[in-house]
Amino acid sequence: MDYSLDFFTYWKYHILVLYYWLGEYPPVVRFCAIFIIVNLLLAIIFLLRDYVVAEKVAVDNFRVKRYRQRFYEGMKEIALSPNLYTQADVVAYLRLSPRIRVRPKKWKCYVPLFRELYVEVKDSGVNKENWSNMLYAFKMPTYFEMQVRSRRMKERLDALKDVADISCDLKEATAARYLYAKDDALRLTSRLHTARFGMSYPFRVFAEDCGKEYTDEVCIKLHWVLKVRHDLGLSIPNFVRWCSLPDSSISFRLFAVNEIRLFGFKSDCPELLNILKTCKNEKLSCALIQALGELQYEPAEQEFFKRYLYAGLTERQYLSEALGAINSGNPEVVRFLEEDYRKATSAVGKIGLLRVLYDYGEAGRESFNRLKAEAPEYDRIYFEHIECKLIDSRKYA
Amino acid sequence: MRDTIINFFNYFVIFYSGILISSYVAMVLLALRKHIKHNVYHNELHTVRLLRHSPYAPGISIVAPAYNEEKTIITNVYSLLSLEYPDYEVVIVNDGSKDKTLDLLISEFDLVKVPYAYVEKIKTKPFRAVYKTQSDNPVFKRLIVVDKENGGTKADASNAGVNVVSNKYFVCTDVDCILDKYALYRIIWPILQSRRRVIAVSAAMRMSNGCIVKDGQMVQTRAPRSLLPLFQDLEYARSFLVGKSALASLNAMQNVSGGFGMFETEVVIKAGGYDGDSFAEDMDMVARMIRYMCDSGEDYRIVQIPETCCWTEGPSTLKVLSRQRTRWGRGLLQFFIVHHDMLWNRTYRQYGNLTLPYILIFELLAPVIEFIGYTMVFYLFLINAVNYHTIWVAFLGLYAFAQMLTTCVVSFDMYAGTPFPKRSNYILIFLASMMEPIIYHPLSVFFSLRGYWRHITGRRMIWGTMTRRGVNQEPAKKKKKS
Repeated sequence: MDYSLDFFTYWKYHILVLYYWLGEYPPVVRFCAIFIIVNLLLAIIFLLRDYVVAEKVAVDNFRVKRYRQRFYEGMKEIALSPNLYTQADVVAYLRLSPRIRVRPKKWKCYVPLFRELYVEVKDSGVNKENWSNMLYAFKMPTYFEMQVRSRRMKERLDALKDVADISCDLKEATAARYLYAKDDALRLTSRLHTARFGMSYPFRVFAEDCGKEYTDEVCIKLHWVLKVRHDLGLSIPNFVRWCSLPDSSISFRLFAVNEIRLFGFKSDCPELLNILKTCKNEKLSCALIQALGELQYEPAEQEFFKRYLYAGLTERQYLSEALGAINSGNPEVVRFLEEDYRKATSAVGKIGLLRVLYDYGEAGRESFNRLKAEAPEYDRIYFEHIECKLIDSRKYA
Repeated sequence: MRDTIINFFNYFVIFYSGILISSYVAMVLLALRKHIKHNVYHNELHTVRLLRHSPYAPGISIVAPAYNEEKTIITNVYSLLSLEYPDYEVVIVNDGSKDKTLDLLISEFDLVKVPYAYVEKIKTKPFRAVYKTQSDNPVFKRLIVVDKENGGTKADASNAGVNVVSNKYFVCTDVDCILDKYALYRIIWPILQSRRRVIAVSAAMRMSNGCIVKDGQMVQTRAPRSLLPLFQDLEYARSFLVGKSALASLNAMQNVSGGFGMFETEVVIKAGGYDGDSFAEDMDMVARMIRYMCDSGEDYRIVQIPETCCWTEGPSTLKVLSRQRTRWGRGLLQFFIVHHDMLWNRTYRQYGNLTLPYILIFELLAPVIEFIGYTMVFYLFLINAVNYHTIWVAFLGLYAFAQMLTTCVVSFDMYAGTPFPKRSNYILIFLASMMEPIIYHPLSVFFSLRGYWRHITGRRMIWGTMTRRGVNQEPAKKKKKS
């Protein structure tokens, strides 16, 4: 008789033993026994997994620590040096092995090092050529390319984000493969990469996604990309064009208007005013008013007066703020604000108007003092609130 | 007749346990899905880098009520002021402290009374003054101290803080909580990511007992070294990483903890703020926010993030723990009585049809059913009718399930970015998990039942003081060495 049992027969045997052993007990006991076995097996699996994960984390932490000790100071020196360090110089200076094969598991531990260093040296005048050569010397672009091509979504996304964070060169074609990915996050990250580093058609993200809903996250990421381009002296898109497109979503238009304001494109103001005249969406109107105010576009004042008559409370606040920001010295504005103050009922509205008056040159200050003298006792606090230098009344809500 | 009752109870227990275990399994699976998604799409350092200089980063206010906190107030305020975020303010509400809390704040931060136009958007006990710093230190300028008469509850003080808040979102926390350096980045990100309106965000909290804290800053995170806080740490981890994460993935969150949670200011004010009479004010607040959103037909989301953002000191003595848990038990019953109309009400969407039934069946009734179970076993033991095989095997089944759940929680914890740098901390958690069903769980049941009883009998509840060791203490061993 052959006693050597194969794998399945072995397990079948034990299950049968268990079955007959439990057979004499009621169903509840049998069920519970199986439940215990299943749970214990699961617990062991989870424990093993936890152990493996913890080991991996410990190894990674150890590697990062070791790399930091070995390279950080040298890397910092190279990054900040005014002298040019070629790739070969970096390899020699940091005693790197030039023919080493990139292994993602090991290479991912360089990323925190580069990230930390980039944050540290970015504002102290990093030598961009040295930085780029250093990344090449460490074969970081090769590593990131491998990661971007990985089958795992997390690795792809993290690689694209890390590339942006440490300003690493990556072939445009590598990121471009996800320009039409099904996954929203991957598509956006890839498009942002193209918008930041790409040379051919970088603003695909505006042209093709302008009808989509723009979350704050998208706006933050886009603004960051545009800011980098602006700082590097690269072109940034004509936002007004996107603002007036009929197909674009409200959130996208809001973003475009805000960008005009943040980048201070005064030449776009006439077009913004035209858009405001026909605008029916309150959020967009408020953004337009804010932009026109902060860009100090004086011809907008008359439109503001007109809008004030039928505007809602929120829009009114924006209008008064914008009139104050334009600060044209127009006495009509002071009269208008003063009149509105007399009609205002809410504390937020009153404080907003008083603050605008207080900051509106001499005429505004006179009006403020006049209103203060007339004010009943219970309203005095608003005036004192504005006058107190320790309170930031712009933030009152 | 007796046999019929016993049989009925047996079948009921089997049925109830079956549903309970199934619900836990479902929650583990839902939480797992959520954690995987979060892990894939979230990159914290990238987020921090994006938000640090962005003009789109919304302002956040931190509201922290303080009552008789003279021992720790200064380090705690420094801790709150040292968080990383581009635009935030810290509103400390002195709830009529009888000690030197306010005086210490005034002298340390060079505060003066300012003529602040305080508007009582939410009704509170009389407001006295607002203080701002005269110092040129830009960090101190973030601080606002509101002084008011004692309202007897944290809710009243929080409401006074909300009245002063100037940002669209505010974080409600306790003054003794230690927040993670990146807590504000973490908690605001789901709001910025979501296409839907997020009215509240909850984040994981853990016990600070056992952690090494110096000058209000977390030096080293460790699992608690004593048994009661260790049990609570495990309980918190289970609740945040499994229960709340799973419910949040269905947009059915039951509670945003009063220890650390972010809310949309406008919705809180429109919902009437915290209820000073409630013993579970955080749970009640969320219910009223949802009620307001659903009644006005607006869409909303309440989100849970898995990362640990806040470290709080848990009760380390049985006396304090019993007081806290009795209050929670009482609060739960009170909450259910107040909001019973939302149960099975289609107007309140997932909250009315999933969250509240879940709370009713598995949280409110669970201690009662367990108590009946214990009594029944005792009775059967007295009449010598116990089937020992069944009892043992059932107990072992549940015990094994609890251990499996703990290993799951630890896995999730590691997946979300482990809060403990040393692996030995998890050994302590596993040890606690082995003892928890025998020692801690029966105590929780007892305290909950006591809370129900006190609510039913209408006994007056006294707000006990939590005895704190103070966060600026390093463990005794370290001190001796130094």
